[in-house]
Amino acid sequence: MTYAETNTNSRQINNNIFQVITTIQDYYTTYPWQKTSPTARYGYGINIGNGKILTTEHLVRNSNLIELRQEQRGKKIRAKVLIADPQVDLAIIQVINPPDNWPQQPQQLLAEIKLKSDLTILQFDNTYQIQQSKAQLIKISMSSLPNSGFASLSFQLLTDLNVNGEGAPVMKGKLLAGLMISYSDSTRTGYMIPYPVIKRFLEDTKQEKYTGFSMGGFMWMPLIDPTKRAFLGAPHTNIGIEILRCDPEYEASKIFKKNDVIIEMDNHKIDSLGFYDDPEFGRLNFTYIIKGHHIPGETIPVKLIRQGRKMEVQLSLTHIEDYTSLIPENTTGERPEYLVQGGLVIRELTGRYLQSYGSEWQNRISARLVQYYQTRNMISSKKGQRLVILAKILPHAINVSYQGYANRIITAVNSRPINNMADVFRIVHEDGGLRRITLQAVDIDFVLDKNELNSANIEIMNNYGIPALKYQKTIIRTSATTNNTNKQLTLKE
Amino acid sequence: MQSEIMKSKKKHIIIAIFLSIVISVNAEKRRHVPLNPTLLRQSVVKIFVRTQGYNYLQPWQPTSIRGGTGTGFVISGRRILTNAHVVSDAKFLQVQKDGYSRRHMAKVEFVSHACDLAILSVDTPGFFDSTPPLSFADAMPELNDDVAVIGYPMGGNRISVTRGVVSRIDYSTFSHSGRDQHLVMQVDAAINPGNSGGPIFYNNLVAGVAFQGITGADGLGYGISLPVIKHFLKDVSDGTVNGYPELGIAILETRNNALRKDLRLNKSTSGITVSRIDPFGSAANNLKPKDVLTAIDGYDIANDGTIKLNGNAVDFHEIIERKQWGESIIFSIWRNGNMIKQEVPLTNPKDPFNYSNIYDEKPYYYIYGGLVFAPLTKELLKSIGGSNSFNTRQLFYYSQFAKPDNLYRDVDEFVVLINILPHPVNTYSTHFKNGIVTHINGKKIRNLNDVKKIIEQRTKSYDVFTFANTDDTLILDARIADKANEEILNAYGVSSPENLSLKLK
Repeated sequence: MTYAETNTNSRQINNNIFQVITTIQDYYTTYPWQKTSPTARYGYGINIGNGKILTTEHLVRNSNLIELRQEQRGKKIRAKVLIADPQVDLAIIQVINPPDNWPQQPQQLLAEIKLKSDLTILQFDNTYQIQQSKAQLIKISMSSLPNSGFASLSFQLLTDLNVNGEGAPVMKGKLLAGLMISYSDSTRTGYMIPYPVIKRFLEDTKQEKYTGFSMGGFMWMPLIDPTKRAFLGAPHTNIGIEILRCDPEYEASKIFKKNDVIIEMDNHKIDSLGFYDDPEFGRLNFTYIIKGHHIPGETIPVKLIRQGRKMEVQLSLTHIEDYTSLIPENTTGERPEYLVQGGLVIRELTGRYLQSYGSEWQNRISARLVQYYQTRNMISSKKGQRLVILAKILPHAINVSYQGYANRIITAVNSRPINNMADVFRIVHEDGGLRRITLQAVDIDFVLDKNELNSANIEIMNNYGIPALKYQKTIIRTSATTNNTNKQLTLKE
Repeated sequence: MQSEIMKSKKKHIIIAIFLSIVISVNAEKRRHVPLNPTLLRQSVVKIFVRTQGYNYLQPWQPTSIRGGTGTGFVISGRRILTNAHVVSDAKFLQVQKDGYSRRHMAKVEFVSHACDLAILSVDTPGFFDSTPPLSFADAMPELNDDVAVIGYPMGGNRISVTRGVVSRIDYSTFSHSGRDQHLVMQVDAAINPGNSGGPIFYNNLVAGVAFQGITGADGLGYGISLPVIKHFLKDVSDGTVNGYPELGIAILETRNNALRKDLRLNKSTSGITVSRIDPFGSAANNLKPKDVLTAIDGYDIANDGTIKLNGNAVDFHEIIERKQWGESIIFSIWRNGNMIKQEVPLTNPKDPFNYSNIYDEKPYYYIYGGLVFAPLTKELLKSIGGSNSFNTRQLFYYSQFAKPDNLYRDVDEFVVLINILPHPVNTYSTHFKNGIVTHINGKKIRNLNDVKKIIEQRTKSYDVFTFANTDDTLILDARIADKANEEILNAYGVSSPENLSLKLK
């Protein structure tokens, strides 16, 4: 793809815009071998050359089928996901058989913008005609993305017309300013992923291996309480934030200590609320220095105060995946690994699993699991460790006495401690089957009859319509290591 | 653990419990005797009460005064029996006999919140002269037997009689404590607010005490059953209320063949398996996990935890339900491949991690620098409500899993920052509200009294508060906080900066 050429007319821009129709199917969390009813999502994408379309990650997440439609045409064109990154809600899809009239000029990106700039949102009306809506850029900030929870640079817009699909291109003149990711009819405002993030994403996809966006690997708090500032030896000026915790897995843990006060990062002063003066966008949260100005592997200078003493350290930036946590979110709805033995359904706990209990999930599921989830970043755990749970018991004679014990944490399988599903699969494979499980705070093991297990498994599969007793990813994770290469971030082409 | 134990108990509730109790009632006793309201009503009194509880978010402050009425009845020994919930938090208590206008001052002599019963006394000379004590039935009525409820329910001022039949006998949670389960008698005679504490008659004998209903349900009134009433009267006969003993175990049905094989149980041996021991229950130090309880006081226990009583299957807890504190039970136990007998004295110590409703008790608290500290209690949880904030969810977790997850170790109680009285000294502290305090100035907090002790013994110029599962710390400038205390107490109308437990002092 190339951005050197300049688009010449609006017809060419319109030709670059596609309606993206996806058929989505998630996995049930409690019956992880089953899929939910297929549903359709409608949004937009824009041609970036070579049969590739840029769209949002959420639009294509867990899609069985992706189809594109051009302006004023009914014909649908099939496409597939090349790469998707939920941390910035961006994806590239590839057209499988581009039609003859495929646009030759890829869309060019905007290079700079100012607050209050006038923009244009392009979308289809109900006759498949491109419709334009005026919009104004009203806020530039680091915000949590609505469909993944990760913080990213986002632009907030005030629009004239309602936006009818995510991924709708936002133009400044003939240049792409960003893609819409959310919209509120009631306030006529919405958020878009802006061109700097898109630019960085597209550049990364050209690398041999996609590295993703960088993070610092530490938790922090604003430092506005003057008493606390004095206690920590912070300056009397309005400068500095407090380090609360560093993930031991990352470099930050080697240079930062709890209660350190960061006063400067990459030669930008950080105020007590965590903002700095960005040369391009003005006042922004300092995390944009990490995510927007640098890439994983780079090092930035950090000035801090430790116990009243000033010092300078070098922070190595890294990329952090969602699934490095003890309880991953699994925002993308990745298929969960599971094992069914003797009707006991074993899997790892995820945020997605908890939230599948509905909007009041905190009241519907064990307070213990809720507490583990909300303290997941504070529990010291080994690398690759997960919380493995007995999610469900499919009633059968082999598991009588155990059927009231769903949603309990499993600490050992066949009397051997476990750290994740990989351990469960390994132990069950080595021992030739599941013999017993140990649950947290239950001081007696649940034992399965070795001689009846195989016939019980077959009966349970038939009775409950289970196609397979387990789903295990092909790449083995062990307690000691986590291999990331089986994730969606890998370029699939 | 408690909820699990109770759950397992409830699981085995069977109506046959009732049958077992009444099976011995002979035909003559079951002959229906017409109700004699003229005679009985003389002994049924109306109770007038003014109550005042405490605001658990501002624990120095009582709630508004509320008025109510209930029913009681005269029993032997110049006593009046009524419900605990009628007289809980009472500040002013009077009783009035049927047909008389005079109200007499009354006092609560005994109250058991666990079984929602209380005994009142009246000092007025001659009060009991025309009120013959009512007698209790020897046995409970059966299903479909006629019963009558006499009392002073809403809808009028004078005494009321309603009739119906026994609809069901079952275990049920007593809403007054919010935790305990005992045998109840469900009747379709109307029981309405004001009936509480009144007698349910069967053949002119008291067979129950009206006590609760279900909002929105039709013809569902509940009476405290005869065995529970008799247990209470026996309990108080020594001058103190000990309540019901708790065995304190979680159990697992022993029906699974592989589990039985693992426990080396032969086919002819049945029993229920201990899956966890409550450190505050009677079983602690007497029973062990994986024990298979095969018999209780000579009654064989089946694999689902039931025993045979008079030919009916009832939960084995029924035997414990009939015992008083200080008594013992004897279990036959299959332990590590051997059959043994184990006596279990029912003498449970007080359990600070058993979160029941609290009555008649001024809440404990301590205020410093506008920070209000108090122990975690069920009343506090009710006052905080069901928000999904981190700290609120954490409090619910600690209240439910204190013992199973060993959170109770190293503490006497959980100390919570329940409120912040805003002042410049604490103005950046709001996000710590409802956090559980673990350390102050680096020292472990075991109980509320430790908060005061450590703050008073401080040697540095800052107070550093650390909270459970939070990396952030709350810092107060000690010099400013010390000065601000009086100003804060005056501004917010706090009568005293503390109410600390003498026991913990």
